[in-house]
Amino acid sequence: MTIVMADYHEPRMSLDKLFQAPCDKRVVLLSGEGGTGKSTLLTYCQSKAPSPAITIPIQLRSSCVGVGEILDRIGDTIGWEHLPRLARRVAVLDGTPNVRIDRNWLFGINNRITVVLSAETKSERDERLRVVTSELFADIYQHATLLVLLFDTFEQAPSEVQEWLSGPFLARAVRADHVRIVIAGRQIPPPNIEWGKYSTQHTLDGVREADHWLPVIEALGYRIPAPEPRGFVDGICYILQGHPQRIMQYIVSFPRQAIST
Amino acid sequence: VSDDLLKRLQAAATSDHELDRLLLDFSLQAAGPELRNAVRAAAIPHWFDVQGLAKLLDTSPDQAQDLYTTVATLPFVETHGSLGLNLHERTRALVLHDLWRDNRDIYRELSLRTSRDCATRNLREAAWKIELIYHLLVVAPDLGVDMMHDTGWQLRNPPNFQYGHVEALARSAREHVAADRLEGRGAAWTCFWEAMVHFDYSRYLPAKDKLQHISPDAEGDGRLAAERSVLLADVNLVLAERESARQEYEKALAHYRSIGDRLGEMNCLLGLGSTYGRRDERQMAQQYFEPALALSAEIGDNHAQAHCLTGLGDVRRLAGDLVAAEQQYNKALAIYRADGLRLGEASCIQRFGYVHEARHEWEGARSAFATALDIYRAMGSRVAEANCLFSFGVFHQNRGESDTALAYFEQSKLIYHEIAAIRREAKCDEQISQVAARKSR
Repeated sequence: MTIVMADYHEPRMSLDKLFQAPCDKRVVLLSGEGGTGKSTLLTYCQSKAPSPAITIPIQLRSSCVGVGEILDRIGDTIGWEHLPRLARRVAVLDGTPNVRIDRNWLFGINNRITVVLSAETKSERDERLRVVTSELFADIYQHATLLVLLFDTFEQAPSEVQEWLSGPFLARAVRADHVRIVIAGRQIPPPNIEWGKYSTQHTLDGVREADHWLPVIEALGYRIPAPEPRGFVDGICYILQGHPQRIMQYIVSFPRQAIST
Repeated sequence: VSDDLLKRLQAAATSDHELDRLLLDFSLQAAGPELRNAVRAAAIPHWFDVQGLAKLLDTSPDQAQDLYTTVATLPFVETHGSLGLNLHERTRALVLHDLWRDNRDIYRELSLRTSRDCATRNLREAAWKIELIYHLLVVAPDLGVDMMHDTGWQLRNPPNFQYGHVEALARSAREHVAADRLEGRGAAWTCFWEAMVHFDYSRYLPAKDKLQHISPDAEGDGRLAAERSVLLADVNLVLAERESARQEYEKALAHYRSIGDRLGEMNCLLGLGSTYGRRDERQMAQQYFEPALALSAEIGDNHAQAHCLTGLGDVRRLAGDLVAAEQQYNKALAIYRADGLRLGEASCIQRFGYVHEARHEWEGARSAFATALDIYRAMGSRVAEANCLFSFGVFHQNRGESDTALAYFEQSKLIYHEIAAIRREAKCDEQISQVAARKSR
C-alpha cells in the first residue's frame, strides 16, 4: 500500500524507527486538531510494519469500544491460543475456573470479558482491569512476533479506556521489546514515570511548505489551475495554515491532468 | 482564475465555519445533486453503511451501493471501524449546523429515517441503542428522553455496570445540546447522566457541578427532580455534607410521593434514616427506618430490608441497647450472606466490632474490624475502607495507643483526600491533632 501524504518528516521518522533495531522509543504519540493528518500517519505506520508483524488498528471513535472489545480484537488477531493466561483468568473471574477453554467458550469471550470487568465500584473495576492486563502481557511477553497496536481518536474513548491505556496498559506494553504502540488523537495520554521514557510525542500543526504538496498533487493526478503553480500552492498553504484535510479538500477541486497517450 | 480562487479562500478564512463551507463546496463542485444530497444525508448518523444510506435516501440498496462507493472516495469521508463510513467530524458538524439552521424539517425527516434504520439493527448492542436514542432526541424529544432514562439505568444497574456505555449515551446527547438542537428536559437529563458518570468515576465535585446546572424546577419533570435530588444527596454524603444530603432526600421524597413511585419513596426514607443516623438523631432516624423497612418488605427488596435493619440496629446500639442491636444486625447479616452481598456483610461485621468495643471486648472488636477491612479491600470500596480505617483509629485512640491510632487516621485521610471527601479528611485532621496533642502531654 502506498500512502500519499505531505511531509511530516519527523513523525514519519519516529514511526519508521519503530521497526528498526534497537528500538528504545516504542510508543509514539501523535496529537493534533481534527484533519491534521493523524489517521493518515497511522495508516502510514500500518503500511510500514514489516512482515510478519501483527498489526491491530483500533478506532476508539465508535462510542462503545470498551476494554473488552479491545482485548477481544487483540485475541482474535493474534489468536487466543497465544493468550492462555488471559483466557484462563477471564474464566476464573467469570466464576468458572475449571471450564474447558475451547472454540465454543471463546466464541463469547467479548461478552465474558465485558461481564468480568463490570463491577459496581471504580476501585473494583480498576483492580480487575489490572489483573486482566497483567495476564494479557504475561502472554504477550511469551509471544515472539512483533505486535503493533494503533489507536486512533483517543480523546473519544470512554474515560475507563483512556485511564486504562494511559496507566496499566502502557506501563506493561513498554516492558516488551517486541510491542509497538501508536496513539493518536486531539488529546493523547500524558506520559508518566512508568512509560514516558519509552515514548516520543509529536504535535501535528499542518504542512505549510508548497514543496511538500506539489508531489502529492501530481501523484494524485491533479493539475494546478494557475500560471505560477508553486506560488499558488504557497498561497493555499498560507491561507489554510497547512491544514492537510482542508488542503486535500481543495486539491480535489483542481482539474485532472491530461492522460498522455 | 487562480487569484480569484485565492481571494475567495482568503475572504472565507476569517471563520472556521466559512472556510470549511467553501472547501466543502470546492470538493463537491464536480458532484451532481444526487451526490450532494447523499453527503447531506450521510452527515445525520455517526456512521453509515449501504443499508443505512439506502434508508436515509429512501432508495434501493443497489442505487445506494453506487453512491456509497462514490462517497467513500471523498476527502472528508473516513472508515468507521467495521460499521461502515462516517463524515469527518468537522465536515459533519458543519453540514448538521447548516441543515438545522436552514431546514429543520429535513433534518428531522432524515433523523427519523435513521432512527427507523437503527430500530431494525441489533439493539442489544449498546452502540445501536445509543444511536437510536441520539436520533429520537431530535425526532421525538420526549420519547428520546424517556428511552435515554430507561437505557441509562439499564446500562448502569447491576449486573451490567456498563459505565462506559452510560458515558457514551451522555456524550451523544451532549452533542445535540452543544449544537442547540436539544434543550429543556432533554438538556437537563443530559446533565443528570453526565453527573452520574462523574459520580461513578469518583469525580464528586464535577458531579455536583453538573447537577447544579439543572434548573430548580427540573423543567417540570417530577422524576428528574427526584433523581437529581437523590444523586445530589449521594454526592453530599460522600463529601460528608450531611445537612445538604438530608435536605435533598426530603425533596426527593416529596417528588417520589407526588409521582407515586414506591421504590423511590422507600429509597428516600432509607437515605433519610441513614442521614439522621449519621447525625446521631436517633429518634428521627428510627422514624424513617421503620416505614422504610415496612415498604421494603412490601416491595420485596431484600437489600433495602437489610439496610433498614442495620440502621435500626445502629439506633438501638447508640441508645445503649446492645442486645437489641445485635439482633437487628444478625437479621441483616443473614440477608446479606444469603444474597452474596459482601459489602453489606462487611458493614454488619464492622458493626459487631462497635458492639464488642462498647462491651470492652477488645479482641472481638479488633478481629471484627480487621475482617471487615479485608472484605472492603477485596471489594475495592475505598469509602468503606477509609471509614473502617477511621474506626480502627478511634478504637486505638480510646485504648491510648496513640502511634497506632495516628497511623490509621493517616491511612484513612489519604483515601479521603484521594476521593475528595474534604470534610472527612478534615475530620481525620481533627483526630490526628487530638491524638498528637495527647501524645505530647
